[in-house]
Amino acid sequence: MNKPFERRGLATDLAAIVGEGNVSVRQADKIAYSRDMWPKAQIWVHQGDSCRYPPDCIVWPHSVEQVQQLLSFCHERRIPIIPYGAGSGVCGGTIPIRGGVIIDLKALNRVLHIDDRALTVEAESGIIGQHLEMELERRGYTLGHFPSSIYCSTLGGWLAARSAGQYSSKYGKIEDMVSRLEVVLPGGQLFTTPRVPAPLGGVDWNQLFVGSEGCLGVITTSVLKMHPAPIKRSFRGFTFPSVREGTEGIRTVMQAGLTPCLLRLYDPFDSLIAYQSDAAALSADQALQSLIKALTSSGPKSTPKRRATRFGDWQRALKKQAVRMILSRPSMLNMAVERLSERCLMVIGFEGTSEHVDDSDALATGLLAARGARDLGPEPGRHWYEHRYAISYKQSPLYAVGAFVDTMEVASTWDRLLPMYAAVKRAVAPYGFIMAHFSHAYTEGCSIYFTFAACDSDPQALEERYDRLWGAGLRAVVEQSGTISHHHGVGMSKAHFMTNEYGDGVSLFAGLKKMLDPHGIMNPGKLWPDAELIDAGVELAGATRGE
Amino acid sequence: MSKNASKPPLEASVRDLNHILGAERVIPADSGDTYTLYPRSTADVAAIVKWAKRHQVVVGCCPRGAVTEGGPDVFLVWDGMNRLLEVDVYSNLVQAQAGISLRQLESELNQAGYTTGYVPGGADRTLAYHLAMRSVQYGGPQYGGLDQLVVSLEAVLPAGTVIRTPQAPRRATGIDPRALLLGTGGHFGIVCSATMRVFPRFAQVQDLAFYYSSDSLACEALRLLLRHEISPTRVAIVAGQRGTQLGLEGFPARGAVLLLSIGLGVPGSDDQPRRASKRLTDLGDALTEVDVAGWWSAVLDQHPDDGLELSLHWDGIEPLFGSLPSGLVDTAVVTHCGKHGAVIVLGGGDDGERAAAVAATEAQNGGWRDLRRASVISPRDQQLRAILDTEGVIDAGEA
Ligand SMILES: Cc1cc2nc3c(=O)[nH]c(=O)nc-3n(C[C@H](O)[C@H](O)[C@H](O)COP(=O)(O)OP(=O)(O)OC[C@H]3O[C@@H](n4cnc5c(N)ncnc54)[C@H](O)[C@@H]3O)c2cc1C
Repeated sequence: MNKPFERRGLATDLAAIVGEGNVSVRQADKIAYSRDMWPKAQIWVHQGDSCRYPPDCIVWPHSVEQVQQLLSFCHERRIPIIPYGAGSGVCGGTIPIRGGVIIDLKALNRVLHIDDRALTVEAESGIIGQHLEMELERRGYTLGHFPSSIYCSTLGGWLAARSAGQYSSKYGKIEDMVSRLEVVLPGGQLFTTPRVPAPLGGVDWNQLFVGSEGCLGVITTSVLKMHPAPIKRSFRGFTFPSVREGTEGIRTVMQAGLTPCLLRLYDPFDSLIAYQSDAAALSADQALQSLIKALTSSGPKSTPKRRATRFGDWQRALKKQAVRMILSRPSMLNMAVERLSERCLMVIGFEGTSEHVDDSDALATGLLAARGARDLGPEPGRHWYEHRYAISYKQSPLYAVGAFVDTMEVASTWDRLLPMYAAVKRAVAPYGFIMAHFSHAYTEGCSIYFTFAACDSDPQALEERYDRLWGAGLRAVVEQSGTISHHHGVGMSKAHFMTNEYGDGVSLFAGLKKMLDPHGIMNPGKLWPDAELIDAGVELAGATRGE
Repeated sequence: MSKNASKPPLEASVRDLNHILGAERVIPADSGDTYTLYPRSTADVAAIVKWAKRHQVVVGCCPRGAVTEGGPDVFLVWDGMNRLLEVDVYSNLVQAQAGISLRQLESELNQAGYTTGYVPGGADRTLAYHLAMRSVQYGGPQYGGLDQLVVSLEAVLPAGTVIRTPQAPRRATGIDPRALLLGTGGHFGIVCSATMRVFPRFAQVQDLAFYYSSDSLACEALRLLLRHEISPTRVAIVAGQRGTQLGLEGFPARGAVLLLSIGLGVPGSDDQPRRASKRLTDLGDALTEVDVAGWWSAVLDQHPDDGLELSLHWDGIEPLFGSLPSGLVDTAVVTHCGKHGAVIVLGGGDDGERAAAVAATEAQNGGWRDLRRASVISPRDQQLRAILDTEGVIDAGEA
């Protein structure tokens, strides 16, 4: 085991900075903070390895000054630091692969200022997204940022990983909202950018810290652009004869200059999951219907007083068996899905002033009808709105049967979107069941959100299958010149593909790292593989070449 | 990389270069101690930079036109890299080489029925200049600023390697390299081509003008308008004195005029001028029967080259106007605006007045840039540059 830094007395030294009650070396905490929501880490647990990369300590600073002291201390001692928001990241972005100190920022959670004239809000990074939005709503505003994880992710995590909310087509991604940042650098210095609506000359430092995934410093405060709360909101559903016509519908709407808050197109199978009550209309066969139920039901209920019946247990065992069987033959399942009706569901929504919503709704309805869409009225939109944060939490039942579910959100310009969709499906099909929806649309392109699931009775083989599936999927994206991530970030999971994404751009990142984090203590092993940074001349805490 | 005695004579090194570019694209200056190079492609530029590194030669690439005295040995000229490469009407994108002038780019796009919507002063300058300067512009929130318009860049880095930022609408793959290449005067790499968003042109555009008794009142009217989902294609607030300086006929001598253009001819847009007028006349008066189109061209053509630009959120703008030296207020043009703020461009003023305006901006936590100063990058940026270009291969002419 690598012991690059002095661990003796660490907790005591850290307690001198943040107070005794705000440092933990408890095993339960180490386990909890040893991973985020990266599905691969869940597979490790399934393999019996519940704490593959334990941190040495977890600390909870309560002020920016404490963050400064912590970073200065760790910088001096070459101790790795992992900034931590809420751990909802899905790419292994907070995994302490070299041990070190997890800095959980959730105690820095104040809304500092709301400016009614400038339409800006200043808040600390540790605030949970929903709390921030509630405060804004109370004051008659919205940030317009609604990731599905809004209840379990922080502002700092959004910024560090370039998050996108469900309404990004209207309000933009989080990076579009940034006016000013305050960042603590590894030496403890405070780095602030001017509070501007638009950058002028010089390096746009905001866009270097945004997306830096904790590798350059700790973002402590930000000023963000907000909007008056909408007066009206309206949603509408449409069906399209095929994915091709559906994506043409999205493109037409965006290129007509409309700004829908929500615009999603589910591919045929995802349409069934997204809107089961319209399932009959979309006519799936029986086996697939069962799979949908299995994928989306919330798993065995374990109420203590439940009277277990043999029949119930048997039924559950059978269901597990069925899911295992289906998911372990992904090629067959994918082929069966190909035979489904090609029809797919679109949900579109507008919000803002009444005039804006009414005009836009009428215009979009006309444009989509001309593209072959059938108007389903407001019901699918209402259904989506009510369940908009629900589906993402329903992954666990599948892990319990020895399967995994994961998502891959990629993007490209319109000309390469459908080829990319087809290529990724083709590449992933041998390893897992795959479906997708199109969301986060722009005038020049769109994101595709793939969901895949696979199963293997042997946990080691499951991990291998997981790696092969991701490798094949990302290679297909790169070959189609798409981006490997639209909003989940890179973390550990995609770091090895960053050279494909940026080529020699590694030198730019390495230069920044050298300037801001010369000892490489900030979140090692994320964004770029350590080896590539070492080759580019960055000294990394505890890293040796070839590790 | 400073010129030093130990490096080989330039003339000898240039022989290599002749093989790369062809002798007709390597032209010695009359004095014989520098050369002008005419690359035709990104690959040519990369080859030049690699060659320069090998031979300890400094490459001058000066989007602003000025060069450091005694600096570069060879100079890049964009004449061979000034083409529009592709208009992708399916994805609404244009790819153009950096040497194309903005006027040429717009004209070719207009012929195809498109526009970038990007309207800085100085349309005859190259795209390379505007990218390097991140020029402030008059295009309205309908299209967004340069940072939103540029989807991807192809640039040669100081090592001679080429970076092509992924051509995707948005991404979450780490830092944004465009942050180092846009607006940094060419110090971090030589931008060779850009892919930008384009928009179908409106069938018709209506120009409107409104009078206000002061700049801050005009700003207030604009702020309130932009909150209401009205998206002009062009916007500017011009101080009365500035209008007089520009010789605009019929322009009020005092107060300020808000100029805006609204696109028509797509469903839902035709009512926008009426809605805008209704809101804008709450605090001022509509100016009818004036030559708004003529005013627009004068404002764009005579955009100050040496302006002091102040970027502020709306909360800082009124206090700023209150504390600016009066001579400077008279030159103000407010532009580059959106729901959250705007850029105030001040022409003229002496160093003392400009310093006072900068101090007033900083008091409002705003950002500023003085185009009279040689460098567009800060000492902090310089520090990063020194790491990324250790040998000083690229000389952007003003460090
Ligand atoms: C159910 C579910 C639904 C999701 N839906 C969405 C969605 O709709 N849109 C979306 O974009 N993402 C989504 N995600 C992914 C995740 O929520 C985002 O990546 C989010 O931005 C992470 O925020 P966090 O606070 O949990 O960060 P963490 O997971 O704690 O950290 C993420 C990364 O940011 C760094 N970091 C965190 N805080 C700071 C800071 N203050 N300074 C510097 N670095 C920091 C960490 O080191 C790490 O590299 C979803 C995840 C789940 C589990």
